[in-house]
Amino acid sequence: MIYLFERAEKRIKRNIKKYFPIIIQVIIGVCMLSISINIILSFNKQFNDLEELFSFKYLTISTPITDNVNDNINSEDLEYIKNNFYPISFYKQYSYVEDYKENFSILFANEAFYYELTGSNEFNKSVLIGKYANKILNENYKFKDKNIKKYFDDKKNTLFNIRISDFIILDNINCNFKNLLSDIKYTSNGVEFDSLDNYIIFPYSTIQDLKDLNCRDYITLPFNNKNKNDIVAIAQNIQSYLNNKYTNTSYEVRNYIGEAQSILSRNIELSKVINFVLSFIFLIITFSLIGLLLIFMNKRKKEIAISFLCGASYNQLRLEIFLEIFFIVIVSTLIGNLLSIPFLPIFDGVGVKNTYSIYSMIICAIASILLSTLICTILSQKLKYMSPIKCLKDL
Amino acid sequence: MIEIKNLSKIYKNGKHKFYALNNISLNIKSGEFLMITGRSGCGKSSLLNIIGLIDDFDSGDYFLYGQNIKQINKKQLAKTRLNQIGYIYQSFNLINELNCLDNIQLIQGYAGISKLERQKNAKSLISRVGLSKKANSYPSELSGGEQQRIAIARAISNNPKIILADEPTGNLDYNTGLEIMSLLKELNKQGITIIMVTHDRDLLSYSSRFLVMQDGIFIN
Ligand SMILES: Nc1ncnc2c1ncn2[C@@H]1O[C@H](COP(=O)(O)OP(=O)(O)O)[C@@H](O)[C@H]1O
Ligand SMILES: [Mg+2]
Repeated sequence: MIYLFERAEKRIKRNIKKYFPIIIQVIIGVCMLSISINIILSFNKQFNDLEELFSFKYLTISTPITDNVNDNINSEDLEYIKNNFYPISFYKQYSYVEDYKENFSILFANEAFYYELTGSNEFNKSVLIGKYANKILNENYKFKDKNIKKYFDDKKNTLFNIRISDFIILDNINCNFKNLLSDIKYTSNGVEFDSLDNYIIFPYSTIQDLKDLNCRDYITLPFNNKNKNDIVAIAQNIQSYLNNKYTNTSYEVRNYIGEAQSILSRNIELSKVINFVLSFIFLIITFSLIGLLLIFMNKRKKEIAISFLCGASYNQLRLEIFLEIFFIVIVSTLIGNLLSIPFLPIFDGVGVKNTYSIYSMIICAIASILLSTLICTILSQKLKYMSPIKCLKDL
Repeated sequence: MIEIKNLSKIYKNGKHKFYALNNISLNIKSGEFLMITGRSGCGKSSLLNIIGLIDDFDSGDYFLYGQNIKQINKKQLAKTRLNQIGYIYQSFNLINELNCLDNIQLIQGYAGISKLERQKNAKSLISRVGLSKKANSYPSELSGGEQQRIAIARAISNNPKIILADEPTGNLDYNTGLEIMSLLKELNKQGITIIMVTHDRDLLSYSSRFLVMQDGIFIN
């Protein structure tokens, strides 16, 4: 066994020039395979990360805040929506979103929002702050937006008359905030949910007059499992109801998660196409590789025949060839797989941030092991018919 | 040691039967230097391959150390080949990818002898054939005579009792051929039985006995 290892090693060293084209082919093939696997894994990871979110369905109704009180949704409307479209409750929030210039987001939320976020009424009157927003504020932050600046007192260190040191850091309380975010961003890297780490959440009652803050009024309507399936139709119905009633302002009813989900499903479909194309290329490379190896092994018939005449058994010869092919394919696989890492960002534009996954290495390794085994099986089939006299006559 | 009785080897070419060996009988004693000569195509190699357990035969009997070859299975046959018989060929049959020392170690490597012992043995063998200086050279860097010496070193590496040589001087010039012959003669003096095939009658003086073949039978 050790002798066979030595032989394989010596052969490879001695034949490295002959093996070079094969090694390059395997490296390129594996590199492409690895890229496609990594893209697909990244798509799936994105999907899985957001899966929890998708189980929670909600609609948001949003409109810019105006002076005209008559344009605002009132409790009568909400009651009507609840009776006709079955959402389980309402979270109202004002978001400071338009022309946003700061490095964090500000949100004014009602008690229902607080309750959903923290699971209790304990923090209703507190300002909650995400860890990044907190870090930024404590690093001598300069407000860029003059509207917000008005509410910041740098002597007392207060924002909207509340001391920044009194803000409660979200990470310090046990909260279930993921589900509450309606802030979905569409970037070239795909769909991203804005993390609450960037948010400062004020109680709804903090400020009375929001119109100079360029706020947008959001109402979040979560649905229970029973009625969430018709959420798209419900959104359309609510939208037409509101737009019929309030002709002066435009209400936007959106199903963010549904939108995100459809984009992500499209990404998954896209990933299948990418996978198919790259697998196809890989397949072609695989076949040419098998051909090349077989030709190469045929050229070495003499060596195999001599080994056979020198007393090598069928199993020894098979193992020797196997070790050799195995070593070459495995090493090229590792190189090809690692080589795919720098190429991954090129494919970021297709809708997901591609990250290297160790699983791609495992999959490539399995693929190349299968490939080597296949080649060796073909070769050992040839070896089976060897006899000393045939070898001698072949020489 | 070797006892061959009424042995025939037939090559079938469609319906046509060709007797490469026709009812041959032969006894070889231990320690002999037997040469078989005859014109090309008379069946010398066929006979040598049968003696060397490389090829099979169609009728007759072959006893090696009193054992009937027909009753031995393939695996034992391979083992006997490995442990009892050394082969030398006209075309040397060295592996170009391995250097001289590694080529010599080939048989013992497959036989599972430890690396240390193998290397020690190979070094002593290479000095025995007078090529210590070329230990790390590759076959392509050697002359024909040198290659044949390495092949001889390999053939005796597993201490065989018999050496079979098929035209060992066939690819060499006259003087180099004589050098190889004296090397073989030396091995024979050390107790190895040598059976050699050649069409070169000038070499017969090295043998202890010779047989002349024609169309598959001995004529002397
Ligand atoms: N595999 C084979 N098939 C058919 N005929 C063969 C085969 N091998 C050898 N022969 C024939 O058998 C005869 C003896 O061959 P061989 O023993 O090689 O002769 P030598 O070694 O004396 O030159 C030749 O005529 C050759 O053509
Ligand atoms: Mg011949």
